[in-house]
Amino acid sequence: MKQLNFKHIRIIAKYHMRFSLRNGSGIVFLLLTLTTALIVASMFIAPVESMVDGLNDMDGMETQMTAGEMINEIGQSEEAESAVDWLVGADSEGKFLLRDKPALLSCIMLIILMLLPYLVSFGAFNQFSGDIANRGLRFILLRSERINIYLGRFVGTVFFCLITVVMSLVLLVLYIQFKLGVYQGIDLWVWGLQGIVAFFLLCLPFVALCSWISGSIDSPFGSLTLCLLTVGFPGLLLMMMNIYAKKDFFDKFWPTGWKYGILNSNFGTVALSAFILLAFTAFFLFIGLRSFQKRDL
Amino acid sequence: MSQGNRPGGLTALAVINFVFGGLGCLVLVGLFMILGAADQVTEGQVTADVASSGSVLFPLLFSVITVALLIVSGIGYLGLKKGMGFKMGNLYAVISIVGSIVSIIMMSQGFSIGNIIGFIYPAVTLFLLNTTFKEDFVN
Repeated sequence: MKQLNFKHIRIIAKYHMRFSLRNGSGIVFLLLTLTTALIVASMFIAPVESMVDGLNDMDGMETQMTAGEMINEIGQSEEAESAVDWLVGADSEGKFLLRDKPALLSCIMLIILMLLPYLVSFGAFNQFSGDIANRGLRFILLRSERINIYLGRFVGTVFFCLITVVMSLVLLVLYIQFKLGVYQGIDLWVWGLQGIVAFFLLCLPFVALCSWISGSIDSPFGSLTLCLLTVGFPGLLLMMMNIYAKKDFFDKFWPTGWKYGILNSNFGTVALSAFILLAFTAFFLFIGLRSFQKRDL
Repeated sequence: MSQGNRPGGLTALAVINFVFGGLGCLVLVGLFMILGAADQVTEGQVTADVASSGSVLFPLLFSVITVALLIVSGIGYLGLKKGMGFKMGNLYAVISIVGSIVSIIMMSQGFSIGNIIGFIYPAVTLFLLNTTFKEDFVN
């Protein structure tokens, strides 16, 4: 740990964030995340908007509701509540997410949280593998230690992912606030902020996992494939085990099992989920760093 | 700067341009085939209607121009060409954004979330070409 140098980590993280945009993976991640977030939002908003427009165009059928009010009305329904209860895996959370909080933003955030681990793979798969393949890391090793390079790139990738996700969420919140105008501005922004914290905490273990894979493989394509498989497969397998064994704890052995805990109504659950996600991050970082420090670069 | 030093991001932008340009080409070819078939049935009435109606002609012309610019700038990105890559890429982004704004104004429904999706790629292109890749177009 004597070799740990925070100044080096900061410089490497800053450079890596800038470099993320210069290599293809950063651009693909940026476009994928923005497009996915907006497509998810449009899945909820566009059908209602066109229905309201259609009703307004028909003679004598003018609706008294705006699209935003209609979306809110649908969000308050019992069907929507039971759908959210099923998705989150908790009986009373639907009421909290749809009635106590801005329902539309809750629904969008739940779907993005489901997709986020896969999206993160596109942003984090090439932290080291490309540079290991072309022996570029050897030049950086002349100036800093492996631990600083590893942690610096991890931090840089996390911040790049965070900035992209924040951009997506800010776009959505602005649209919901100014175009639909059904929620109180302050409620919307506070809930959006908690969503950003949830996205950030869920990003961490998966970026750490991708750092480990990327540091172990010297092929960017191989790294992307393995990242996507490793991020998705265990979560799906544990979820299926939950269904077949009729239990609800198997998915807790993987970070995806804790993703909705950060949006929970109970502060204890929020804190526990955050702690477990951070623990997963520390675990993946530890084994990734161990493997990176031993390997031939 | 030699071709070997082309940043991966520019290659990615070029590939995305070709994908969007190719998809746009397919849509346009399909549209022209439908127009041609409709023309045969109505003895040229459809083409005359399209030519006289701004609400049909404008999006059609706009699509042809953006598809052409996407493909040309994609080739320019690969060759790190200042005129064909940097300038055409910027032109595509500006025309695309202006076109989207005009179409929002012309449409009766007004601004929708779908319009923001349409803005993303041109806006990202404009940003990246003028910041991250500004110095890379050396040919």
